[in-house]
Amino acid sequence: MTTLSLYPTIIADVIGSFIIIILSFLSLRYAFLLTNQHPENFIWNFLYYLCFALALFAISRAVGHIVKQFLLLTNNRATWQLLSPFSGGFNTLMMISVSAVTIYYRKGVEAFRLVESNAEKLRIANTQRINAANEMIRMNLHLEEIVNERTAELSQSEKKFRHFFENSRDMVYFCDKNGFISDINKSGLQMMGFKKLPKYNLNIHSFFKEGETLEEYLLSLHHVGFVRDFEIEMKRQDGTICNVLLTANTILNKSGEITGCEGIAKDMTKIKRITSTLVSQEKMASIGQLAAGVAHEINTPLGIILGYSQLMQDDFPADSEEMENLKVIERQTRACRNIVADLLKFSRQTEGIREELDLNEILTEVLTVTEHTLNLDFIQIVQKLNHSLPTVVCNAEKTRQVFFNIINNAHHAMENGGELTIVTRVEEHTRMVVVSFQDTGKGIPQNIQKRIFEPFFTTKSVGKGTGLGLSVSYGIMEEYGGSISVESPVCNKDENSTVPGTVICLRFPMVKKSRPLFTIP
Amino acid sequence: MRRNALSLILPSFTFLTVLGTLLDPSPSWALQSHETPEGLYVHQMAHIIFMVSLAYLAWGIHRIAFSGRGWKHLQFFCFLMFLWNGIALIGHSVSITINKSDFFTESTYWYTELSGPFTLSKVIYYIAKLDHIASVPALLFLFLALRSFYISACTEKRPREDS
Repeated sequence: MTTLSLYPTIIADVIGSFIIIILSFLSLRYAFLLTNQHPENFIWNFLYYLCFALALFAISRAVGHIVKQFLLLTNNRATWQLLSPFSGGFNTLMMISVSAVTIYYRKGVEAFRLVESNAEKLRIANTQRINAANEMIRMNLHLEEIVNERTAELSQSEKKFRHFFENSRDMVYFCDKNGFISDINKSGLQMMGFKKLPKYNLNIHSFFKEGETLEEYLLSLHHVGFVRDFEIEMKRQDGTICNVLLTANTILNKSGEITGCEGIAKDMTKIKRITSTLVSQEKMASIGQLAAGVAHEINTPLGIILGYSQLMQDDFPADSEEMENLKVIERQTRACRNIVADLLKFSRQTEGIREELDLNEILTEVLTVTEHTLNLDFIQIVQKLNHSLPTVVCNAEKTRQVFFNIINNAHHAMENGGELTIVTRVEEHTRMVVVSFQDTGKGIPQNIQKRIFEPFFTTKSVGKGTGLGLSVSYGIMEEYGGSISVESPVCNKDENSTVPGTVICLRFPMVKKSRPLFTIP
Repeated sequence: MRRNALSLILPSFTFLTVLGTLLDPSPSWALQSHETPEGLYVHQMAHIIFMVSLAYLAWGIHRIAFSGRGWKHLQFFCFLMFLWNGIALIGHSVSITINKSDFFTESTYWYTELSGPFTLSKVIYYIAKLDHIASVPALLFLFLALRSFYISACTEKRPREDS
C-alpha cells in the first residue's frame, strides 16, 4: 500500500461533528431543565454553564469542520483559507472558556457546600424553634391539665410509699449522720416501747445495747455504705431487750458525703425465743436419754449392793462396828437409788397410774404439809385458786412431787421471808390449766435461766439440793404433754414494769370431756 | 525686538522637525507583531489548559466523593475528553511535519490520499484525524450524566452526596 485514502477521516469528521452538536445540545437541554427545577442549586448551575460552554465549543469546532469539509469538497479552498483563522480562533477561545468554567467549579462547590451546611443548620434550628414553640403553645393551653396530672402522679406515688412506710410491720427509719431520727414509722416506735413520737429527738444509736455492736454498725456504714441482716440487741424504752435484724443504707449528697441513713429493722425476739426453746428442749431430751441409760446401768449394781449389805447384817451382832458400817452402806445405797429413781422420772422412764384429778385439791394437800414450814421463815402464802378449774389427767404422786419441788425452791429463794402467790387459772385459747408460783425472792439471773432444768444443776450449797428437783419436774410435765416455764424478773403488765422475784408456770393439758366450765341457765 | 525674533524662530523650528520626521520615518517597535506559528501555539496551549481543567474536574468529583451513576458518567466524560485533547495535541504537533507533497489529489478533495512511505508521524497524523473516536463517546457520557442527574432530581429533591 503506497497511499492511504483520507475519505474515511472526512466521513468520520462530518458524522462525528454532527453527533457532537446533537449530544452537546441534548446535554444543555437537561442542564437547563435541572437549573429550572432547582435554580438555587449551585452544582446544576455549574453543569449548565459547562454544557453551555461545551455547546459553543462544539459549534465552533464541529460547524467549522463541517464547513471546512463542505468548502473543500466543493473546491472552495480559497474561501476556507479565509474563514479558517476565524474558526480556529473561535475554537481556541471556546476551549479556554470551557477550561475557565471547569476551574471555577472547585471554589464554587466549596462555597455551595458551606452555604448548604449553613442552610441545613438553619433548617434544623428552625425546626427546633418551631417544635419548642409548639411545645410552649401546648403547655400554655394545657398547663393546668399537665400540672394536675403530674400532681396526681406524685400524690399517688407519695401515697404508695407513705402507705408502705406507715403499715410496715418492721421498723422503718430515717436519721441524720449523727443518728438523730428524722422519721420513724409506728411499728418502729412500738418496737422501741414508745406509744407515740416523744418530744425530744430520738437517736437510733441510743437503742443499741452494746457499744461494740454500734461501733461495728457505724464502721460498716462509713466504709461499705450499708449493713445487711445485722443481728443486734436493742434496748427498749423500758429497759427490756429485743433482738433485731437490721438492714441500713447511707444517704449521700451530690458530692458523695454522708448526710444520713435509712434502715429497716425486723423484730426477731419471738423467733429467737422459739428457737432457743426448741434448742433447749432438744438438749433436755438428749440429757434425759443419757440419764435413763446411766440410771438403768447403775440401778442393778445398787440393788445387789443393797441386798448383800442386808444379808450381811444377819451375820453380825446388833451393836457391833461391822453392823454400823453395813447400815451406812445400806443408807447410802438407798440414797443412790432415790437419785436413780429421780433420774428415771426426769427421763420419763417410770410409769404411774394416771387419772382425772383436780389440781386445786392436790395443791391444797401439798400446802397443808408445807405451809407451816414456810410460815416459820416468814413466808406468806397467797392463794388465788379458780374453783371451777377443769380436771387434768395426771399422776397424783408425781404432780405432788412437782408442786413440792417448786415450793421448796421458792422457800430457798426467800430465806429472809416474802410472799408466795399461787394462782390457778384456765387458758382457753391453748386449752391449758395453768398453775403459777410467784415468789418475791432474789430471782434467777438471766444467764442461768436456760440451765435450771438441766439435771444436777443447782445454785444451792452442797448438801442442800441434788439439782434434780426442777429437772424431774420438767420431765414429769413433758410426760403430761404440758410445759414448765420460768420468768425472772416478773413482768408487771398493768404497770408495764418488772418486779424482783420469779414465776414458775406449770401448764397442764385440759381433759376434753371434763365438767363444763360454766352452766347455761 | 529680541522677543519678537525668538517668537518667530521657535515655531519655525518645531514645524521643520515634524516635517522632517514625517518625510523620513524610522522603525519605532511600539507594537508586537503576531507571526504564523503563534496561532498554533495558542491553540496547543488551550488544549493543555483544557486537559488540566478536565483532570481538575475529575479529581474534584473524586475528592468530594459525589456518588451515583451520573457522577461516574461525568468522570468518564472527563477521561475521554482528556484523551481527545491528547490526540488533538499530538495531531496538531505532527501536522507540522507533514508537507503538502505528502498528499496526493487525483481529481477532487474527496479522493485526496496520503502518500507513502508511511512514517510514524504520518500514521499518527492519520489516527489523529479520527479524533471523533474519543470526542463522540465523551459527549455521549456527558449527555448520560446530565440525563441521570435530571432523573435523580425528579425523584429526589436534592443531589445525593455521601460526603
